[in-house]
Amino acid sequence: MAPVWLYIRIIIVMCLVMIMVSCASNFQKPTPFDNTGFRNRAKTIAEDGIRISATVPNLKESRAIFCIDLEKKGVQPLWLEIENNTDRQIYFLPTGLDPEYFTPREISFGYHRLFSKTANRQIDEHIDSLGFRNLINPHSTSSGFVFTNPDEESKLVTLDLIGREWTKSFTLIVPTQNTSFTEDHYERILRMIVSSELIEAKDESQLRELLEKLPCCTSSKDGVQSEPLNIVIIGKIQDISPAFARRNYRYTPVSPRYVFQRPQDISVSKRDRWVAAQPHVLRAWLTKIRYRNKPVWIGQVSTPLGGRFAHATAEGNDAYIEPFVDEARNDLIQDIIYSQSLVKLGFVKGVGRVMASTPRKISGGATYHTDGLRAVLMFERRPVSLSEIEFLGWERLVDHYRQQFDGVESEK
Amino acid sequence: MERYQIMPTEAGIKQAFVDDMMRIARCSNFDNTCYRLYRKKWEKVNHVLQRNLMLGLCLTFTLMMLGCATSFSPRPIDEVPFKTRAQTQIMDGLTVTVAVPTIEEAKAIYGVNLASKEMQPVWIDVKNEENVPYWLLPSGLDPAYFSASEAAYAFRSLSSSEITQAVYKRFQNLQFRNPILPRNSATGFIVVNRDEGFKALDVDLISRAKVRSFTYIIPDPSFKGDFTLVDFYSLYDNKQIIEIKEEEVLRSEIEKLPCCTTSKDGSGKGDPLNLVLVGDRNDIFPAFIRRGWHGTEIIWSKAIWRTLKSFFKGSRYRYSPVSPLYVYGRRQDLAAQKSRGTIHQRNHLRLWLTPLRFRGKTVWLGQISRDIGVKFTLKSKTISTHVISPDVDEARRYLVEDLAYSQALARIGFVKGVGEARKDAPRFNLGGDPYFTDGLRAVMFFEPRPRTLGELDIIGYWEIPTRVRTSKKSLFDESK
Repeated sequence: MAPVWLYIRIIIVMCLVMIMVSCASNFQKPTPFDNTGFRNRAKTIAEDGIRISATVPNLKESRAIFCIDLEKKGVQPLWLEIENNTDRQIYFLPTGLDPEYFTPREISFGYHRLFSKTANRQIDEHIDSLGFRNLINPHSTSSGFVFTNPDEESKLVTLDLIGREWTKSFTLIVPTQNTSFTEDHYERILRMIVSSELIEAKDESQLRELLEKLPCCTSSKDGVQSEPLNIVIIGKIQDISPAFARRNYRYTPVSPRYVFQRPQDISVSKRDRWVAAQPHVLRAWLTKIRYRNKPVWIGQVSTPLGGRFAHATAEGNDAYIEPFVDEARNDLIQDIIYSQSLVKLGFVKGVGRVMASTPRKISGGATYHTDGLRAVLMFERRPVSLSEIEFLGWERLVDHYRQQFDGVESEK
Repeated sequence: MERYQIMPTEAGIKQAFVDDMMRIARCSNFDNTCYRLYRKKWEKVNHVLQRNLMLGLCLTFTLMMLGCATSFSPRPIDEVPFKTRAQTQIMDGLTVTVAVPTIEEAKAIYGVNLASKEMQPVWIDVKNEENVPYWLLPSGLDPAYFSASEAAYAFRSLSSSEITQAVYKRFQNLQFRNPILPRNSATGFIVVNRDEGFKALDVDLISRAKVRSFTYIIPDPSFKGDFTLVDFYSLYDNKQIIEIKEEEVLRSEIEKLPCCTTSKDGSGKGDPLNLVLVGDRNDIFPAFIRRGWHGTEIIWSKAIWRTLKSFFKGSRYRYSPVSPLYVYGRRQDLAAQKSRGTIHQRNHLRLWLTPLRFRGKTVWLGQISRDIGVKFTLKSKTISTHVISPDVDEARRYLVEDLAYSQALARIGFVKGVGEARKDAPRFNLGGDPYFTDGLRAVMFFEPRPRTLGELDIIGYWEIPTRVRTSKKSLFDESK
């Protein structure tokens, strides 16, 4: 037998031995350790008699707490504490936080070993005891871990609490092990613009004027004009993020585009594990405009050419977009309408009409055509049903569509 | 043990698989060596099969290239008879008609096989007799629907730009186009992710003034779901139906319902029946589908085959069957599941129609559990069965939370069911898996959508679920 095979066998045997003697097979419940470290790091929000703290333990803490390596199985534990000083019973909906969260028993089963009944029972009990205890009674506190799918950068924790014919949602930004920013990314964005530079829109008509004056397009790093800025989002980050999270949008790093001489402040796209999600990419920049104290964001939404059917290129080239950019914009609107947070919807003039027959070339060699409008989406935190959405009587998409499709017909 | 021969046809392999199951069943004790031998063999088959599949794919691809390069010839829509299965609903000035072509019909209409890319077209016709323009929201049909350009991209020809253009044009022309102008109509297809069994469709139309919501359930005649075995109309005759008006009467009637599932002959006590659904069929089932639940196929040979494949690959077979359990002497009327990543992890529920009617609405009794892994058993014909999470209340809780986002859940309450089983003294289901519970059943009331989270009513004067008692304290309690 070739010596190399011998070595491999020896290594395999050694590995087996190591597995046998490792944590899981003779599971020992860890001695209570000093958990003040990560609890002190916790981010806290308090409102209307409800206080919420959340934090993600780092790798070392996580191993000390659970005695198993959760990261290996793609689980990120989130520690949560909810203090209820109201007179109502409160229930927390983990589905809103992560539609595919894990349960304690599901996790512990993954670490079960053959022929070690006692150890398996101990691990079950241990993980179970660490889980978050839902149903928070009046004037009491509940705490524990929710087992979520991992977020690389900061974790946006959106909490939907419900009670009898009552609901309230909270948003917290929790740093994770991999958060690379020295100060929090989102806080940095919000502090970026000093108050003396802010422009407050007095009413809707002034807002419309200001929005139409915003830059038409993004540009590449060397200043060549790129995709049209076709969306405006109005709302606090705490109100926008749950809306997007409910529709499965998550922070996703993408290649930079430039507006106001800086790359996008935030970029998101959709995630879903049951079926491939729509492939749209949204980049957004915070503007100096404020409307009723709410920040105004300008954004660009488009679809990489080929969408879900494109072959992933080695360099992850996203310079080529689907030429009909309005499709991505309309898909996003139609999706966000279901977020239960959109209160107003309207359209203002943007880049101006570009016909399909004479498409516009942009940096990287791609082309696009559009009706030239930008959508305006206004968010609030309270739950809004589909039928409550209000329409701003600005540009009418109907008129533009009529023209456009007449145009398409005549082109044939 | 005789030497194994790989039979060349799929039917042959299926037969071999069935034979092996019989052999395993004949083993005196289900010992590990026996199973391992067979598993090894089937892994090998799977490997060979995959290689054959690749070969087949290459061949098909070549054929496709040849076929595509010479012709792209969709048929006119009116020559394809899918509209005979159309369903129409009317609300004030809006008339909405919906139909779902079968795979073959879709192939004829589009000239390409959408099903090969897991896509499916839905045909919608809206007549607007009102004074305002309406917009159809395709996200209601499927949040991951495909725009015409994206779907067309999947079928672009690599060799001929003419054909590519023709494909794009065909997809654009067939596409449903917003808006639906006053006293006008709009017709077209929306390309969505393919579903088997039945398609539940939410058609939401929005205007400046209001929202109109329509819900359809459109069956696929080629799917063998549990529900296709049941004739819901003849289950109970008028004498057996119990009409209930008062909430307290409903509560006591629900408490009287069977506690658990049984084996086929009605003996034994299996999984606890921890769910009750109250509502119209058209309010309840689309709510599940909106949250990603799927019907399951009954166990028949094709389904076994597909489940087996997904077991080895760890892939998703969204419709893989659940084994039958019995209440009222019959197997589940309907089973649904929500797969989560792999076949080893899924939530599944079974439902039985009860003779109760609450204010005219149907009442369903059900059982939900969360699968956390797979084990091998002789108690089932398919030799493998799922290990359920012993914390059955957690699965129940998950369902309530999940449906809270479905826009159709109006009220929720809890009543007494199987009775408490503590963690240190668990009960066992018929598969031998332990479970513990607070012993309650969740009662969910469904209403026409849309409704928001804030409108969800919790019946506070019924039972309140508690955490199952345990002797152990949490880490943090000890550290305090």
